[in-house]
Amino acid sequence: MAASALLPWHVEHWQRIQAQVAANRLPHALLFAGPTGLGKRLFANRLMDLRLCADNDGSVDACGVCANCLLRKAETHPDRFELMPEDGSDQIKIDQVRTMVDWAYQTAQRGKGKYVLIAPAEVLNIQSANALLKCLEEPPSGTHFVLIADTPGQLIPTIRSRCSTMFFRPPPTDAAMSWLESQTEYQPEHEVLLKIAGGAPLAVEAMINAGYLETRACVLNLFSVLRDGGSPVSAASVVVKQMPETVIGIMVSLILDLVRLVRGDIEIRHVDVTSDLAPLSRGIPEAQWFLLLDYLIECRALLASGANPNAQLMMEGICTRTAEALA
Amino acid sequence: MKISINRETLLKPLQQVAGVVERRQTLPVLSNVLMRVKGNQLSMTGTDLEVEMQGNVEANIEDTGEITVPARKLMDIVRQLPDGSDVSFSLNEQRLQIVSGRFKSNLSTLPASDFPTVDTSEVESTVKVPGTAFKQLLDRTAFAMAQQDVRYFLNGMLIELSGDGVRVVATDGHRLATSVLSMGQGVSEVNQVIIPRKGILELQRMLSEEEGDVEISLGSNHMRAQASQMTLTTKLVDGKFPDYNRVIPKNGNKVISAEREVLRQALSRTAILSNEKFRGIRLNISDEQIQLSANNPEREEAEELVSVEYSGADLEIGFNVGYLLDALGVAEGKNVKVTLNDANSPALIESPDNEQTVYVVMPMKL
Repeated sequence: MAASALLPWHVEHWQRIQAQVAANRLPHALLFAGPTGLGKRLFANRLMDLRLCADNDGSVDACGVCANCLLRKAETHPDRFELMPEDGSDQIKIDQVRTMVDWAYQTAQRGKGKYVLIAPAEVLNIQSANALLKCLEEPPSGTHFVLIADTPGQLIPTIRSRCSTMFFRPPPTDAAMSWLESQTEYQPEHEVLLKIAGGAPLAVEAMINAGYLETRACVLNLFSVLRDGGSPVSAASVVVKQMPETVIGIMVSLILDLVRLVRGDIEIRHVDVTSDLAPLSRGIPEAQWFLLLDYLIECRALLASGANPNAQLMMEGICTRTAEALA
Repeated sequence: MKISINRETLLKPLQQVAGVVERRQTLPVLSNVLMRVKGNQLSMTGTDLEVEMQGNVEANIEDTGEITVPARKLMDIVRQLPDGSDVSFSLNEQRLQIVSGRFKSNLSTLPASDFPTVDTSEVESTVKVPGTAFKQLLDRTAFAMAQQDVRYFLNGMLIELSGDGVRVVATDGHRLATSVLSMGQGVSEVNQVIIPRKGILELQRMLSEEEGDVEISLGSNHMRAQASQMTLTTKLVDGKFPDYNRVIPKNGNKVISAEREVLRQALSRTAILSNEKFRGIRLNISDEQIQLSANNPEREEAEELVSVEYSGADLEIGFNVGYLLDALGVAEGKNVKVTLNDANSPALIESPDNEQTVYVVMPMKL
């Protein structure tokens, strides 16, 4: 199997890991940290696949045909454990960690070591994180941990200090663009989306698939309707069909740009719609925007906590506040 | 794959294999049994990723192959077929057809390559022991294994192959049981492994159905026990087991000999009124007798005098009665020998008929 090529901004990291493997000094706990959309998980899987492959001596990629690789593809490899939130939960619970620890203290089934992937590591709750510490600090022989975190600052310090951290940073814009062009046909929106995504190339694809620009047009329209004195309730009914998380994310991103406009900042992200944003920002004090931002972030936290708020009411609340800010 | 086989030949090994398959599974393939047809043998494998059980039976083979099918459904179907009937299996279009008499069914399958079999290339030492003797060894000691202890290495049993033979040790930190099976010739190098609790329980289950010799092979990651029809492979616990030699007391100077059944019954009677949580019982040992006494927070009390063979200094000592009963329950022979030193030292319980087995129970302060 020709595995998909190494992402260009991973090359340096990969070489570093390979050098550690070659020297038999692969850290027992690795933390891959960096913004979302940089392919940290791809990188982690690639590493684990290669280490679990029966035929991995000297080669760069897992062979894809040995019994170990077949098991991995069928997602039944017995020496690989993935810790992630269970369905309907947004946290990794302590029972999951305990199951993993029991598993870790038994010998590997296929004799190629054992690998634990914790992704995203931020969702370990405090109890789970503490239950993990002992095993993470001194894992049984041949056991390796790979943790993935978009915001490593959210991890408790005792977890962070037990891991060897590898930071992933967005590649330079031209490198990211050339990679995007090599992947799909060039589209003019790529450049804009890359900027909105903070330079994370894999995020661009996800944004295109999710129809980001269409939703953003919808939100922009919402702003102008509200500024012109439209009813918040009827405005809300238009966007309520969208995912509330997406709408809030776009609003936050747009409002940050509005603040930048007020300050005369040049680092505008939504460069393609600056002409639409400029009139919105005129004459409104910065503080208004920050109040609205606070409210939006509160709503987002509410959604993330699994409180399952009424989407209609929430959007109406947001629209009312926005209308007040724009008035 | 196409085979036919007699129901009775198939059922027993299939039940053993299906026994290790857990009802609730996160991975769908783990609720399946792997059927492999090779030569004139049908092999069936079930696993829960801790213990793998394989059963081999002879069958009429028309075509070889391998596939996995839901274990429980397969076992239920085979069990419900009439006695003595013949069953035939054939695989077509990723479904396993089972035909017996006028019964016909089709089972869903998953590819055999998805099934996580154990990879046991390396074997460090091998011994052959009589199955029944090995089973006895486990039965005498398994009760002392810890359950869900944070000292994960206690949640299992130590198996040691040495020049003396096979020694097994189980302890939960409060009591210890060890037994040795002597053999004419052991292995030259001492090899110790810890078998997880589940592996021991499955091994006991397997051996109760098997006669003849069992071949035990130890590797760095697995232990394999191979009997005539069944093979069990279990993962090991990666840890260091406490040194059992240092736990067994050697300086006992008060030797009591008692009738095992009499002492056991007296203890279980008295135990009823001991503290339900701590189960403490007081033993006042004096010439030719032990006075057992227990009381509980409700101020209820029980007392019994047991006649024993003993002469020496008096001693008052407390124990968790559960631990004493466990040891007396599995010890063999009419009499039992208890060796004590002082109220803070552990008791050594042995059977005069069987010096290979030793129990150690820690005292408790009352």
